[in-house]
Amino acid sequence: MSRLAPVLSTTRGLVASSLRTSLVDGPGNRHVLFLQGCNFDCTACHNPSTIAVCDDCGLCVGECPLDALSMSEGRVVFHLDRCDGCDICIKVCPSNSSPMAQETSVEQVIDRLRADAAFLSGITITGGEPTLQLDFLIALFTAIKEDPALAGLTTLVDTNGTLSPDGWERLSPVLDGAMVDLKAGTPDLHRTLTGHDVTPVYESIRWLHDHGKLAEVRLLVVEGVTDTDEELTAWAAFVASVSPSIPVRLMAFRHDGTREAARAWPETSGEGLARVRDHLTRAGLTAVSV
Amino acid sequence: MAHMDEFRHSAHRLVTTPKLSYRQRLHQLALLAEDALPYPKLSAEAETALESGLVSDLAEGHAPYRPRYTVPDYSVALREGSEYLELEPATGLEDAITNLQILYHNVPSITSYPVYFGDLDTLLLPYLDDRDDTALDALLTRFWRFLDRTIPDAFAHANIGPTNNRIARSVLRVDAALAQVVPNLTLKYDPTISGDDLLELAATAIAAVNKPHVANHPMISADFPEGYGVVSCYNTLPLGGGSHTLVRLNLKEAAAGFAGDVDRYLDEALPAHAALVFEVIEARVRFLVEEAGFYDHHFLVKEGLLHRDRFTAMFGIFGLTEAIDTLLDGKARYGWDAAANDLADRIIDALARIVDERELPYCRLGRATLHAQSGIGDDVGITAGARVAIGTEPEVLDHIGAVAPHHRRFTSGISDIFALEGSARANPRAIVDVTRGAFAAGMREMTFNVEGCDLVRVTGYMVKLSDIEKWKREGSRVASTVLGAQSVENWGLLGRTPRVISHEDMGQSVTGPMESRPETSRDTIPG
Repeated sequence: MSRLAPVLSTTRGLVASSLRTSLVDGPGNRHVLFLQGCNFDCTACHNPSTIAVCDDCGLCVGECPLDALSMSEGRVVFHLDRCDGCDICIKVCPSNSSPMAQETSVEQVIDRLRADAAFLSGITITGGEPTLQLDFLIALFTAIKEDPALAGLTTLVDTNGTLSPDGWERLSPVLDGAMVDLKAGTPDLHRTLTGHDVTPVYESIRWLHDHGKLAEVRLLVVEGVTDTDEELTAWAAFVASVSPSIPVRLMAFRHDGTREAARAWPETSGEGLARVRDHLTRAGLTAVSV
Repeated sequence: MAHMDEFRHSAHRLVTTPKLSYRQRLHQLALLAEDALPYPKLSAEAETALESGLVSDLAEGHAPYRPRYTVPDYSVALREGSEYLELEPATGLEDAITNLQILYHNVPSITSYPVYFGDLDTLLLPYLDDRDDTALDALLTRFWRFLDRTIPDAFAHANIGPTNNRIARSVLRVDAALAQVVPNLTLKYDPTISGDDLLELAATAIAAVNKPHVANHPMISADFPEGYGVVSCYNTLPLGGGSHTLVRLNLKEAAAGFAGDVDRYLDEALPAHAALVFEVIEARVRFLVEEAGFYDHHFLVKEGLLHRDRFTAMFGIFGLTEAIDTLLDGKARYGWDAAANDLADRIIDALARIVDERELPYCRLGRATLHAQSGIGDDVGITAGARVAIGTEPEVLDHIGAVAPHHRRFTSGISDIFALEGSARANPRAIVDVTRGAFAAGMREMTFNVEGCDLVRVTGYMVKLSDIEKWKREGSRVASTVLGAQSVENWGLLGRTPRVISHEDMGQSVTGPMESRPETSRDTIPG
């Protein structure tokens, strides 16, 4: 079994990949870091290779056609300059994990942000589950807030909501907002889809809302799965119990990047999204967008 | 007599081609007649260069009797009236718009239509009364319909900005709501004057209709203290003037035979090829000024809307990306590798120096201006201007990083189109961010194609994908649609980057063999 979260110093994160430009991870143009490692194992995950953290078993090393992987002192070492992104290493990994994640320092991220700051509204950390690397998050966001050249950038996380209120309390001073996935309306379906109890997610949503840090709550719409009347009614009831005006974003399910089990589900239609939007709006939510 | 037979044959086909409108037949016949005249006298070398396509005048015609682009200072006629057109000075907003409409029908250019409608907010603000936005939008809606229906040519270009004012905002609202091919639209943006709100409104419009194009006002106005207009395909030209002509050099052809020999290319080949471009420019300018006498007789000159000494001549280039491929023997790719990007800068610097050093008669400041020519539909296997090859562009910030260093050299305009995913529609703030960053990085102009719009930018002008489909069946009332159809077909133009290829659009609109243009139709390419 691979580790859930990497063991790193507080100023280094295990970063699966990054984007200099994203239009879909919060307001404006955003730099995005995908952190490696997640405590959920969602059927619908579209970045499944970011779930498990490499346990250095080394099975992938001999399979890389470009010798971009090697073993050194019991660790798998990735050589970015030789990689052409064929992803064979992920396919042969028993944990479906990527050995290509890079240990990245706060300083390295800050340097990239300084170069691109004029083009950005902010940075969004996603994954994986970013809050599993809470110390790195706090160190990175603190460095951003303390750097005069980056002071205008907003700091967002895209999270499954399993961090404890204590954790949010620590992150909060340097966090501008969290986008939280609430993956199902009923606790039963949540457990089925994620393997975990929904209670901590509820707690996070309440805590973030009460402290002005809830940017939006997201629902991945899988037709026939998360959009039944029962599911939507329960989903809306919980969100409305916190506040009916919480920004809600509906995400269309796509096959890109998903594993075999998810392919049995249909990709979400435009009509399907509109139907869910109407249902949630009728149930009293006032800020639902697609 | 063979020539005469050919001429008659061509003329007959023109007047009987069902897909050409009356007006289009008339224009084509005029071009045919012009080309029956001999070309201005050139050396044998320059003639050969024109025939081989190394140098091209973009089918401007053999006997230039009007400047290629005119950028009239319409404010003169609004303020003082026009003796020639028997117009009184405008006294109200309706008056001013009517006078502009009359003027447009008397403005010559290569397309036979005006390419510049003016900086409409600056022109109309003095006449704006206390009517509310609803009334203002209604008036501009009627004006916009007039422009699109009577000047059906997407090279015709309106400008707004850099101030954030009621007319500029109304123009952005009306233009996005109508989604017309005409007018093409540019927002002049100055971070210290325009404000984020205006740019954000423009970004919302861009996400809907891929207009406006955004110009880096501080950079361009430094080149043109007398003012400037953005016209046709991203051409930045002096206000009250324009460009006599546009002659372009095919950098791909020019690089042939110099693989691996960058120094000799820069030191020997470029100056020799540039000399041919200058020769064609000078011959054309002399004919226009000395023989056709345009600047002696036209009322726009006599009444001060145009000034001969504010006309430049455009030294166009295209095929930079292929030239770099040849010179570096494919070892580094422009847009992706520092070695190729550095070479791009060296080539453009060398060209800018060559253009600066050559004196030309009858041109503003005695010089031509460098221009990255946006290409024409017939260019197959060669990339427009100084662009990265279509479909191989790197991620948007890398792309900007590769091209921004040479943008400032292109005094009379350069275009790079940046494709954005349709998700930009839900997040126009991202367009604001990228634009502001791009100008801070030294970009002269910014243009986006947002996936999923019916209205798309081709080389620089606008085309409706639905119009292309219609043109294939029955022709188009819009003169530029035929050029757009060719470009979409020949360049795979909708596939600007792997992330944003609009396969749906391609599949529905332009798949399958494109019918050829009427054989006799020789479109003048506004560029």
